[in-house]
Amino acid sequence: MNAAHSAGLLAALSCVLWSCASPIESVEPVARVEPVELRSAALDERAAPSPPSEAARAQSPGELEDAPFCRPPRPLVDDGKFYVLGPEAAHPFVRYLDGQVSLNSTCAIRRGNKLSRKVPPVYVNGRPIGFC
Amino acid sequence: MPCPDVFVQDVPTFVRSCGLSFNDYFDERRPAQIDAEHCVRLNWEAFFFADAWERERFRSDPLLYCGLLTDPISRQRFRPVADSPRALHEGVTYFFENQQHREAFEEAPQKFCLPGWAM
Repeated sequence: MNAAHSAGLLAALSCVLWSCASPIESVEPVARVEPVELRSAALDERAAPSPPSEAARAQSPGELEDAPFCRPPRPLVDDGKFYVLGPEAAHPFVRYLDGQVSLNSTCAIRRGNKLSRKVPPVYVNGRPIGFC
Repeated sequence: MPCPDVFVQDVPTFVRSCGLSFNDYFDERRPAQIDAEHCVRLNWEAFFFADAWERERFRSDPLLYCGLLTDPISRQRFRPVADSPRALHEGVTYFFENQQHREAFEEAPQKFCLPGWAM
């Protein structure tokens, strides 16, 4: 048995003896803690928005629709040409109106430029080559 | 000058510089020769072949083999037929969807012979 082990045993024994000698009645009562309100005022405001102010009520419905938070999402323009992700996310291929995908993912002339969906392809052996 | 115009004026050079490779238009098992001697131009399009014999086979009846082409005026893809209007400009044959497009082309062939005219 080493010195650290014996010191630990001694400390445990003294603790047991002290607890037996101390009367329970001598412990001071703990003050009761009231539960804390977890919902903050800010959360309550977000959940239930405040009624509109006088100025907001004076606005016409058209003005409210123009506000960015009321504007409906713009419809996607479907021109039939799409980017098709390739190995490089920055240089996608283009799928053209005839359903064919460009052979190249960067411009054939200005190397390294992303292909444009608006520039028509040139066909070589019936396969489209895209441009920026 | 728009990129498609540059490309169309010298297709073999830019195909090679892009690192693209094509097989023979007729025989997919044989690699095409990417040079002017093995190339046929129709409208804005190019066709590459493995040898001169295949190239002459294509040139003997291009309408039989070319498939869809792009009309230089309307830019629409269409399949030319035997009586489709056509025009020859600087050694390249152009086919058109209708006679009006052919007449528009012949009024200004320098404008419509390159694909970037309306960009």
